[in-house]
Amino acid sequence: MCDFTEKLMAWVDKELSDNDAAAMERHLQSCPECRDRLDTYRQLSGAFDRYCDAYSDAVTASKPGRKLTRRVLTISGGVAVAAAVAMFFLLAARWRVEPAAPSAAPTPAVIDVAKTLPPAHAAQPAPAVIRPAARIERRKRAEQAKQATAQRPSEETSWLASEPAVEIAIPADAIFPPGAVPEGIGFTADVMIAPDGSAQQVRLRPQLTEFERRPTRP
Amino acid sequence: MSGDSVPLVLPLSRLATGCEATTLYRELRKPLLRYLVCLGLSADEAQDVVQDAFLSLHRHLDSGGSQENIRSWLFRVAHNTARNRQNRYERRFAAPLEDALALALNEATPEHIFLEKEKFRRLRKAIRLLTESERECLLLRAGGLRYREIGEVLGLSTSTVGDTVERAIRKLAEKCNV
Repeated sequence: MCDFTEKLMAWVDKELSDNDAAAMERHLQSCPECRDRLDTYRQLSGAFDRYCDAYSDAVTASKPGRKLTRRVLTISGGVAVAAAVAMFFLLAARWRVEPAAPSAAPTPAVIDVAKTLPPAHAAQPAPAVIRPAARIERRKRAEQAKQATAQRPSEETSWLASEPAVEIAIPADAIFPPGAVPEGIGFTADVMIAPDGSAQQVRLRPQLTEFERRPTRP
Repeated sequence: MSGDSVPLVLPLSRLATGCEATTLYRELRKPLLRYLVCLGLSADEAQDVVQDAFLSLHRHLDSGGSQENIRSWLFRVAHNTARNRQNRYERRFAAPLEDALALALNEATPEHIFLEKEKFRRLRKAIRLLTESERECLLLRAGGLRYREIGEVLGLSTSTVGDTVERAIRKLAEKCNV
């Protein structure tokens, strides 16, 4: 084993000084053993990476059923809160016109967001999907709402008791201009729907993970 | 809609510092999660730790904390939080996991799958033989950290990290016979 062998990884990782890196490159021209080893290291490095991915995917995928909370609307996006709010009002207005059939099959009813967007955003016609919450989800939520009702005797409870009927996913690129879609921070809106179908209260909360539906800690 | 009562519960001050944090979050959430899961945390634990780490980052930046070496800062916070909350730190990472293989290989042809599975099995055995520090160095490296940053996370000198990475990969090579 030659002296350069133990610097191979550092070279692969671009951790060597310019001089050392140049020396390594010259050495590699003339040392088939190091070239072989380099090949092996690169393969292993890639395999290790894929193994980590696979392991992490498997652990994440086998995660026990995500907790469903009482939120009914999740907006993926970050900074343009005003746009998200405007979006919500526009959509909320549509709900009343097209209420989701409570026991319908989970075929998504697609509405054209572009029509409801302000002109500045009209160039991104990504559709939002409104779907009736599945029956099981609703049962779970009703249970959770019941628990929540027991825990919080505040005014919030009055609307928690009525189970959420729809869950809406609005693609972030329907709200944000191209290239400005902020990933990573999502917004969850709690919406209070009155018996007549009108939305009465909206609370937006930023969340750090888009898929984890737990309240951000204060 | 009665538009007169629309309370927005939104910590705007938090979002004001958010641009950089958002970029960091986008860039680092997955590597952090993967690192923590591979350390042996469950998916939920890892999510919690990542969320905590980013909230700590918000506080850190809000209170005028240093903006240098944020990447290793985040990994260090996550690493230490994980260690603290996980007194049953196990070598779960090297446990058999057929699902993982299937997931990793779901785009490969069958022969490919067979070969890759063999490779993964050998790799898994070899990973089990690494020391904790060797494994952590490789994991952090796979997360895209420079040796200096890995050193900051683990409290090692940069040259020690270099030696450890080299030793770890050499061990894997010996045991895997790739």
